[in-house]
Amino acid sequence: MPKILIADDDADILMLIGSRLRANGMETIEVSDCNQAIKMAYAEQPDLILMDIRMPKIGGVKAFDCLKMYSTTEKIPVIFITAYPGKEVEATVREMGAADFIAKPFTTEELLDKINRALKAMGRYHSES
Amino acid sequence: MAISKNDTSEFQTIVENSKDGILIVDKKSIIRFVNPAAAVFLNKKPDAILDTPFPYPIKQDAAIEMNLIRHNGQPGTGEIQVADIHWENKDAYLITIRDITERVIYDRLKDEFVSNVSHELRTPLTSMRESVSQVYDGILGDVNETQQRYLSICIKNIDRLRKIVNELLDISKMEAGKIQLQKSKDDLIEIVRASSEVFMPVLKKRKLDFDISLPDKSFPVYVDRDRIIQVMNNLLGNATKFTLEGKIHVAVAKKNGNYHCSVSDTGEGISKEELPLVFDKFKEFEKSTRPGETGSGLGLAISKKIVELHYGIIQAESEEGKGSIFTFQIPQYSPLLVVRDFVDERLKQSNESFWLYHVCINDLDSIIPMVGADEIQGAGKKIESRLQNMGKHIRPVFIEPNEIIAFAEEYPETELQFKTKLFRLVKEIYFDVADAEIDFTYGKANFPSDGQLSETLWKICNDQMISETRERMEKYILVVDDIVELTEQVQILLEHFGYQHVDIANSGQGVFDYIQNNNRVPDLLILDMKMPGMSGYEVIGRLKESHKTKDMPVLIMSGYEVEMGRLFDYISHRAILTINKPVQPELLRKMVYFLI
Repeated sequence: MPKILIADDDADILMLIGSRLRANGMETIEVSDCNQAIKMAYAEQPDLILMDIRMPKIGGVKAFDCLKMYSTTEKIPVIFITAYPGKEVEATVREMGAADFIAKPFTTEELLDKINRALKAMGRYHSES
Repeated sequence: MAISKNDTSEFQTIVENSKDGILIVDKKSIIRFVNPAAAVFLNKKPDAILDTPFPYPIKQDAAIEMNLIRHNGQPGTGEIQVADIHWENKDAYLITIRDITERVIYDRLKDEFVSNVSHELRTPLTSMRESVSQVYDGILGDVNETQQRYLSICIKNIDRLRKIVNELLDISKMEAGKIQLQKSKDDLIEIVRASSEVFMPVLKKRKLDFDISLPDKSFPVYVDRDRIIQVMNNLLGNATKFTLEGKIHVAVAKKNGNYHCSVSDTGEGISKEELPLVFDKFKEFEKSTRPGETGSGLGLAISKKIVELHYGIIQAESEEGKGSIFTFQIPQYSPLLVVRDFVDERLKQSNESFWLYHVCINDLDSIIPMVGADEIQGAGKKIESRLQNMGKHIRPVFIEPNEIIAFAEEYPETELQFKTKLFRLVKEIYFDVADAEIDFTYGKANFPSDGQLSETLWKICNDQMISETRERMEKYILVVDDIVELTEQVQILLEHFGYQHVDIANSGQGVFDYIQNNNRVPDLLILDMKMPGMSGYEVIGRLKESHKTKDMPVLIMSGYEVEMGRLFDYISHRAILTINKPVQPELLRKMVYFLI
């Protein structure tokens, strides 16, 4: 059962994504700011991180950079959630080494599809979808 | 040189006091009359403006925006409009400049507002969709059929809102000119086929005939593929939505240098009153009681914008109750399209002068069978990347194996420096591929002296092409060696190769005598290094000192080791190659070909 860390400062989104992923056979850890995200990533070693780009404290991008610095967390695939999609964002995200990004508002299919693809790329395939 | 003011003084009053700028510009783009408002806008005194070239492109059919200084002294934006007039018995232009700063500010605020609102809507839409669909999916417990039906209405409308938000953002960005189309050479037939095939299952389910008649060819176009697919999806989506029975027909044809793509249906059609408005924003007609997804009313407006950004036209014909035909046309792929986009983009950023050079390789067909298409393509790629690395002032515009268009700012390098670099690059890359000299012609155009519109510049680059070989043979070569027989030998060889102007000097000083007596700097110097009196090194040193001679290419003839260390100072300033004595004819020929 894949373990997914979800980081988003919007409590509703956090809860909704959490329940959706759990209904699809995944284990979830929910945090609402960047520092928590880094702490939990380090402690729990999730299989994938879903992170909102705009979050209070240091912001999603900086948090991602932090994760890249520790050997235990640098390999965890990260999917950014953004309300501002566009070719520039896409390019930045890829350049930074994130696995993917998903734009709000998204459908369940899109979310699960991207998660599965990212997990598969890491060799941690989740058969349910 | 003032225009004779034989107008009545009332008209003079109007013109002199108008807050709009008014200018009269002759067919050569020289300003013949300027009113006080225009002088303020252009931030110069009237005397400094008269008899100088009008600094902006002159387009009769479009308003052009430019920067100006407002009447209050602040920088602002102006709009130029051009009218054809007759002035002093000749054709001329009446140009008005209007201060549109307020309008521009308002437009920007409006775009920002639309953008902000659209983005703000995205997050609540996410929460809404997720929470409702999780209930619908039964994740929070069983849901009966009626409940499901009501929930699905909610989900469907959230999706519709989502679509509206995305399309609003799309069109506001396009209208603000902020959309960067990523154009490239592509095949229209393939794009139409791919986007049509996606609709096949839907049409099959609805029992509609789907007729896709595409010729078995390729139609090369210069387009942003994703955007054209967006247009096809819009047209096919509409045809599907408004057709209950019958068929949908997709066709592509070539007419007059353009490719026409039409999507026709046997659907409900559009009334005479509504037809002229069909491409307007938010015109979702009341008749749409179709099942399935409902639209945002922006689809056709967006399609129109996309087609227009590709220099195309989109039209609709329809008969109520019978059906509709939507057709869009796009120009065939040509270098002009690429040049136009490039130049237009460049002119948005700066008005500084620049050069366009157009090189056509003539004997590629005879080289290709021997060399192979892949290597030729590789040559094109090499040229492109070398041009990209020559510095920010030089850029490749259009590169095909047999045709190269390159751009260079007028500064910091001169035209001659750019031309030399470009030609040497072409010769070098193609010599590598073909192992022989290639023959090419070239055309060039300067902005703004040769023209101010991309179409004009392209025409000039294309119409008046010069053979490089012939031009090269007319150049002046000076052969310098203290051994007379040697100079004569080289001279005979060069004349045999076709060079028309080969002269001789027998000493270092002879070089400068030649320059002085003929009042001419040779295009190539073939120089012996060890000469009595002034040595070759000294000659090169002195040439470097003068601005007129520092770029002269030099071919050093040497029977000894050339002390390259002594030349390092000068090597970066001009091309220097060496050839050993005794001079091999083929090698001499090749070196001169590259250097001159």
